[in-house]
Amino acid sequence: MTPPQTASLVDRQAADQLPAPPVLAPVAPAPERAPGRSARRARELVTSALFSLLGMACLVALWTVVAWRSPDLPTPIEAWQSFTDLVSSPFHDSGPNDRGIGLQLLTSIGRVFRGFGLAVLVGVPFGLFIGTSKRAWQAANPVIQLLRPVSPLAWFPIGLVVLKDSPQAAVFVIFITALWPIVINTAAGASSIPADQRNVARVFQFGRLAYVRHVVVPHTVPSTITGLRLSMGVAWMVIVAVEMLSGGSGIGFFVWDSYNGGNLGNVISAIVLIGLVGVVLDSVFVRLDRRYAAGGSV
Amino acid sequence: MTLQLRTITKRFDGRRGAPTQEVLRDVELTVGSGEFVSLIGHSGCGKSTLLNVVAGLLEPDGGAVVLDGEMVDGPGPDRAVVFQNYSLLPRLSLLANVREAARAAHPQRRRRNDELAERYLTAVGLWEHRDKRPHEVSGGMQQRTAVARAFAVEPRILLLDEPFGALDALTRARLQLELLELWQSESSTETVLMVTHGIEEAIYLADRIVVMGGPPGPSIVEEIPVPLARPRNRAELIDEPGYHHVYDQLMQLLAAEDVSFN
Repeated sequence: MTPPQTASLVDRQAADQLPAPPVLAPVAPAPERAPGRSARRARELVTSALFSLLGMACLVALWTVVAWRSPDLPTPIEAWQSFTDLVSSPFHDSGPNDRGIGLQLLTSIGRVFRGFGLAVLVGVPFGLFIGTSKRAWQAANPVIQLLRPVSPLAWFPIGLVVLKDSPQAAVFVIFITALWPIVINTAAGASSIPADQRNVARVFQFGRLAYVRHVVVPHTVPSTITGLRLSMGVAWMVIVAVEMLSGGSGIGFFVWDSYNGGNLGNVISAIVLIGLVGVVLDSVFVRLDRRYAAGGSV
Repeated sequence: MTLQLRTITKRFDGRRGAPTQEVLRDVELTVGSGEFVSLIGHSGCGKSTLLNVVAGLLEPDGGAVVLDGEMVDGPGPDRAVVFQNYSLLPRLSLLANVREAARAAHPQRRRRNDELAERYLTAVGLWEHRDKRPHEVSGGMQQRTAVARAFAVEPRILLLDEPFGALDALTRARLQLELLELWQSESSTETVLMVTHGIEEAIYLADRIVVMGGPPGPSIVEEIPVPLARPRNRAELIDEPGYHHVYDQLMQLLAAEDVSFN
């Protein structure tokens, strides 16, 4: 602690910063308090883990009851058998009707990434454009409002006709799925630039490029990340449905194929794996968002 | 450098059927070279609106802003603004905030812009904090950066919109002193127009104080010259008879303007 000084040109910025808290008492209580606090934290951790397990247990209990009433549904133990069988050789490939579940998942993830990547390439610039131009917004908004509520699966026939290839049509459906949240959120971010930042750009005569780079993009990134996260979430849901239509390969095809083969254990195993992949994909965007909020670049 | 405001009128359309509000009516003002003029008045008297008209951020409904015989049409690098709420770009470092403004205002002279950014950020004592982002420093440091940014574009006239209103008294006093030092240094900025609601601030800084009155008839009520020699010492200022004379005049004018006083 430095004592307060009269303002001089040398120490002015030092005095301007937040002062250190005054040291009133010796720091003796700290070693006493520390173990108590960490013990409390550990107990809290155990408690929260127990409640998480409780939730899972309720689900399994419910499932057991339903499986008991409807004998075609495998019990949790039977499903666990299927699950361990499936994940024991995830990457075997014995022809189109017998591929490992890992390969099926990778196929689906690959399609989602291709469709999603295309949607980013198109959606982000387009969102920035309609978010910064009133006229472009007026032109684009009715189209977006009309197409956004349509289930992406309705686009599958159009994809088939235009692309003449079923897996390509699936990617196209994912592209359409992912497009709207990216466009809408990017446009919303770009159109809500605070007046004082716009005024700064006007007073100092920022050119178009500098304005987009230093004002529009930094302000838009958080809402774009939100859009990406929503898009990825929906895309991962839609891929299962669209692969049931497109057939041939992918986790959606696997689910439908297992159902037709009467193997419900595989269906349930696939549901669990789809959920796990979804959690991982979502966490990527949560992390991206946190990193940007903490001041990092994306 | 002469700034002339000729019969400036500004109206804001009422929202949802409310009547149109006249915020400025026939404002006439001339600010000469090397002059420091303060605009003072109650909130809502149109002083910030007038500053925004001079800055080119608002278009007047009538009249014209003339700078050295040329009509002002929109913002320009000859008029830099220090905003009330700092208005730094949040993702840029302090240095980049100053440098990018200088580059935008004078795109043709890159090396000089970097020199100016360094010179003015150093002058406000922030060179060692140059890589920090605005949210990492105090309000006083943010406003210092905004002052450095305004000087770094080498404007002919500096426009200040209640620049120190959000700061604590000690920080405000220090920034006022720094502002005067920068203005009187070799900077090419000769003329300052500052909006304030602080009477002491206006007297301490300005050569002339323009008192504005709100509706009805929103316009300039009085112009009061400040007969105090520079450099001014804040502590000794309050012993000067001239200081009290101006202070009393301002108090009376502002009290008469305030409806709740009557």
